[in-house]
Amino acid sequence: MNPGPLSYVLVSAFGIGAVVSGWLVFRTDSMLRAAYWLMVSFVSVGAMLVVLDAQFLGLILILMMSGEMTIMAIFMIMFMMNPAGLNPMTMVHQHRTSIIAGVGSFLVLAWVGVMAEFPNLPATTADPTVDLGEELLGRSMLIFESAGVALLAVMIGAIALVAKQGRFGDAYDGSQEPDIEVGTGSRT
Amino acid sequence: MTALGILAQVAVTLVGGAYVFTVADRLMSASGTGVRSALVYPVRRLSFLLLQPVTTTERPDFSAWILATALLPALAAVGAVAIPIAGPSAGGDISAGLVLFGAAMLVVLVAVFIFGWAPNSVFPMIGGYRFAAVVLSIGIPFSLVVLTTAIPAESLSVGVIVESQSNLWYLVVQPLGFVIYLITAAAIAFWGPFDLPEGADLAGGIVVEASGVRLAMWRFGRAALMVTLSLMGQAVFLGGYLGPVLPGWLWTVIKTAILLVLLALTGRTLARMRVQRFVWFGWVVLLPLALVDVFVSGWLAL
Amino acid sequence: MGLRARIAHLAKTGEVPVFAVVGGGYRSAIHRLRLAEGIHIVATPRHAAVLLIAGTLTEAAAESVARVHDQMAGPRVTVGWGHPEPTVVPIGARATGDVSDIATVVRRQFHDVVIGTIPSEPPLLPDVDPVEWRGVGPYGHGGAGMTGGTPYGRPLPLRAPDRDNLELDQLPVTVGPWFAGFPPGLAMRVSLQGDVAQAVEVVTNDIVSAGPAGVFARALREPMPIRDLEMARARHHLEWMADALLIAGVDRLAVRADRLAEALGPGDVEPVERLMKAVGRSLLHPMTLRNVGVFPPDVEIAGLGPVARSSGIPDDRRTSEQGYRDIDFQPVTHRTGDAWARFSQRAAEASQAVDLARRAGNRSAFGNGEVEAPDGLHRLGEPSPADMSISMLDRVLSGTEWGDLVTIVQSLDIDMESVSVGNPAV
Repeated sequence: MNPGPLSYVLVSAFGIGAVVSGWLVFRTDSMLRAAYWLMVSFVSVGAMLVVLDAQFLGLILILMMSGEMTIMAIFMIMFMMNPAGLNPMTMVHQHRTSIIAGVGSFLVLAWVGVMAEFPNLPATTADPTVDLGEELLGRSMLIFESAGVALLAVMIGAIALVAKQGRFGDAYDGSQEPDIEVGTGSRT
Repeated sequence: MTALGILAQVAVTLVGGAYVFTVADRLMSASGTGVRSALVYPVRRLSFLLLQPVTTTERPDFSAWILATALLPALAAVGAVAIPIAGPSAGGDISAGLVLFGAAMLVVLVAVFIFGWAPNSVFPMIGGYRFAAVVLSIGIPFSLVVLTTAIPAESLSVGVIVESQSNLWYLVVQPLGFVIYLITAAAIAFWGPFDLPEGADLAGGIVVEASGVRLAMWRFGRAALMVTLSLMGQAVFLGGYLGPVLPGWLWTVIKTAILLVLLALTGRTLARMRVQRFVWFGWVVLLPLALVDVFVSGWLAL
Repeated sequence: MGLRARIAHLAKTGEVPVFAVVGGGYRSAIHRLRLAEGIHIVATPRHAAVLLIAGTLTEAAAESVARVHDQMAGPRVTVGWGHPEPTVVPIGARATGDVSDIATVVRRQFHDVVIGTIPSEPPLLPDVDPVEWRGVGPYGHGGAGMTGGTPYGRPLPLRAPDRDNLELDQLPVTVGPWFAGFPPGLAMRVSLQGDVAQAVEVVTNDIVSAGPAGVFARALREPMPIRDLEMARARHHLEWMADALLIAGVDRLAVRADRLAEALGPGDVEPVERLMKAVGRSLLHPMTLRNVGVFPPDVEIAGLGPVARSSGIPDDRRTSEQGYRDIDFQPVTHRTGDAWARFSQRAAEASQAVDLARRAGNRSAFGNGEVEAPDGLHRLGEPSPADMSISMLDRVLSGTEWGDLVTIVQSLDIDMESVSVGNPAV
C-alpha cells in the first residue's frame, strides 16, 4: 500500500497538533486542562498511527490514555493545594532543571531517531493487526506473556489487598474512619 | 458506502434511537402518563429547554464546559460509525471497529469528568469524581467482554463478527459476556441503577448547573450513547442485521429497540448502587467473571 | 408566528418543572403535589420554571429563598401555597386551597410565562462575585508562588489528614437549607475531601417555622383517638419511605408509596406489604442500604422511635398507654440498626399502624405530656427527637461518603419544624 497525499497531510497535521497540545500543557493554568491537553497530544499521536494504517495500535493508545489522564488529573488535584483544581495555578516550575532535561531528552531521542537503523519489515498480510498479533505471540511471545502474567498477578494482588478484608477491614465499611493517630500512621 | 452516507446513517440512527429511548423511558418513569403524551414528551421537553437561557456559575471553565457538552454526542457517533446497520457492506466497516468503539466509549469518561468539573460547583464535581471511580472499575471488564466476541469470529471488524453469527448468536455462546456487557454499558452511559454521577443524592450531580440548550444537548448525548451501546450489544451478541424474512436494517432496529427498552426498564426499576459497593462489584465480581468469559470463549474457539 | 412563539406553543402545555421550598406544615402536601398531573418536582432550581413557596417561613429564610429564585434559568415565576403575608420574596400568584388548586395555579402561571403574557421575574439579588476577584491575568494565576496567591480573595483550603493518613485539601461547602436530599430547612457546613465528608456542622435552625399543630402535637395536651394517631403515623412513614425511595433513584416506587399514603384506610395492611415486596425486588437492600449508617454503640439513640427500635431497643411509649394495651400493642423491632433496618422498621410500623387503627374502635391515648410520634418520643418542655438527631449528626456523619451521608440524614427523619431555637448543637 502506498500512502496517498492525504496521508502525508493528515500525519503532518496530527503531528503538529501533538506538538502544539504538548506545549499547551505548560501554558495553561489548571491541572485538569494540563492533564487533558496531554491527552489531546496522545490522541493526536494515536490518530497518526491510525492514518499510518496501524489502526489497532492507534486506537488502543487513545483507549488507554483517556483513563490514564483522568487518573493523573485526579491524583494531581488530590495531592496539590487545590481542591478540584478550581484555583488557578501555574504549571511550570524548576525552570533550569526542566529546560536542561527537556533539551537533553530531545537531543537523545532525535539522535536515536536519525541514527538508528530500523529493520525493513514490510507487512506480510493485508491487515496490520494480524501482523501485530503474530509478532506479539510469535517471536516476542515470551516477553509479552511474562509481562501479561505479571500484570495479571499485580491486578489480582491489588484487588486482594483492597477488597473485603483489606487494610481497613470489610470493604463494605468503605469510608469508615479507622482509629489512626494523626501524623504517626499508627493505630491508637 | 460513501463517507457522507455513513454520516447520514449515523445521524438518523442516533436521533431516531434517542427519540425511542426517551419515549420508552418516559413510559417507564414515575409519571405513568399515557402513550400519546409520552410520544410528544421529547418534543415538549426540548421546546421548553430551547426557551431556557444557558445559565452560568461563578467562574466556570467555559470552553471546557462547551467542549464536554459537544464531546458526548460526538463520541456516541464515533462509536456508532463502526457498526453496520443493514448488511455487511452497509455502514463503516472498519477493520479494527471493535477497538474504535471501545476507545470512544472509554473517552466518555473524559467528557463526563470535564462536564462535572467545569461548572466550578460542588455537586457536579463530586459527580465527575464518582464517574471516574465507576469507569475505572468497569473499563476492563467492559473492554474484555466486547473484545471476547472477536475470538470466535477471528476479526475485530464488527461486520465480520455479525456474519460469523449466522449459525448461532454469541448470546448463546457467551451468555456471561452479554450480561456483563449490559451492566457495564448502563454504567458507562451513567444510567440507572448506576447513575452515580447524576444521582438524586447529588440533586442531579453533573447536571445540577446545566440548563437550556446545554442540558438538552447533554440529555441527547446520553440518549445517543445508550443507542450506540445498544447497537453494539445487538451486533455482537444478538446477530445484528441477521434474521429471517424482514430486511436487515429492520432486524437491527428491532433488536436495538429491545435492548433500549430493557435498559430503560432496569434503570427505572432498580435502586441506585452505592459508589463503594459499585467499585467493589466492578473489581471483585465483574472483572473475574469477564476473565472467565475470555478463557471459556478462547477454549471453545480452540 | 415567530420561531420563539412556535417553540413556546409546543412547550406551554408540557410538564411543569417546579422547585419546592417547603415551609412549616406543608411537607405532606408536597407529597400529594408530586402525584398531580403535569407537575414535576425537580431537585435543582436550575431546571425549574416555577418556584413554589409552601407553608410558613421565617425572615431568616429570605436570603436563601432569593438565592434559589435567582438560580432558576427563566422563564420563571414564583407561586405561593398557604404562604402567609408578608412573604420572604415577592410572589407572582398564590393559592390557599388543596392540591388541585395549587396545581391549577402552577400550570396556569407556567403557561402564561412561557407564552410571554406575564414577564419572567427579574433577579432579586445583584449578580456579583461573593468575594472580589483578585487574580492576575485572564484566569488569575500569576502573582507569587505556584498558585498565584489568593485569586478568589479566599484563603487556600486547609490541609487535613484523610482516613489513609494522607495530607489532602478539605473543601468547605455549605449545603442546604433547600437541598433536595435533606429535610427542608436543614443546612450544614461540610468539609469535603473528594466525596467524603470529614466533618459536618449544622448551621441554621430558624428557617422553617412550625405549621399548625398536627394530631401528635395535640396529643401532648389532650387524649386523641388512636385511630387518628395511627393513620397519621402510617401516612408519615409511607411519605418517609417515598423520600427514601426518591433518594435511592426508584421514583416509580416513591410515587407508589405516595399514592398509598394518600388513599390509605384503616386495615390496609396488604397494600403496604405489597409495596415492601416491590421494594425488595428493586434491590434497595443489597445495592444501597445494607450496612449503611450503623451507629457506634456510644451514640445515644434512645427516644428516637423507629431509629432506636430498628437497633433492637424495644422502646415505645405506646406500651404504657391503656388504650394501646387494650388492643394488644407490641412494639416491632429490627436488629441490625443500619439504614435498611430503619426502612423495614418504618414499613413494619406503617402496616402495624393501619392494623391498630382498624382495631382501635373509639379508644384514645396520650394527653399526659408524652407522645410516641413517628419520629420518636416528644415530651413537653424537653428536646424533641429532631434536636437529638441534630446533636449527633457530626458524630455519625464524619467519614462517610456523600451518598451515605444523605441516606443517613434521611433515615433519621429530622423534622426541622420541631427543632428548638436554642438547640446548643446549632
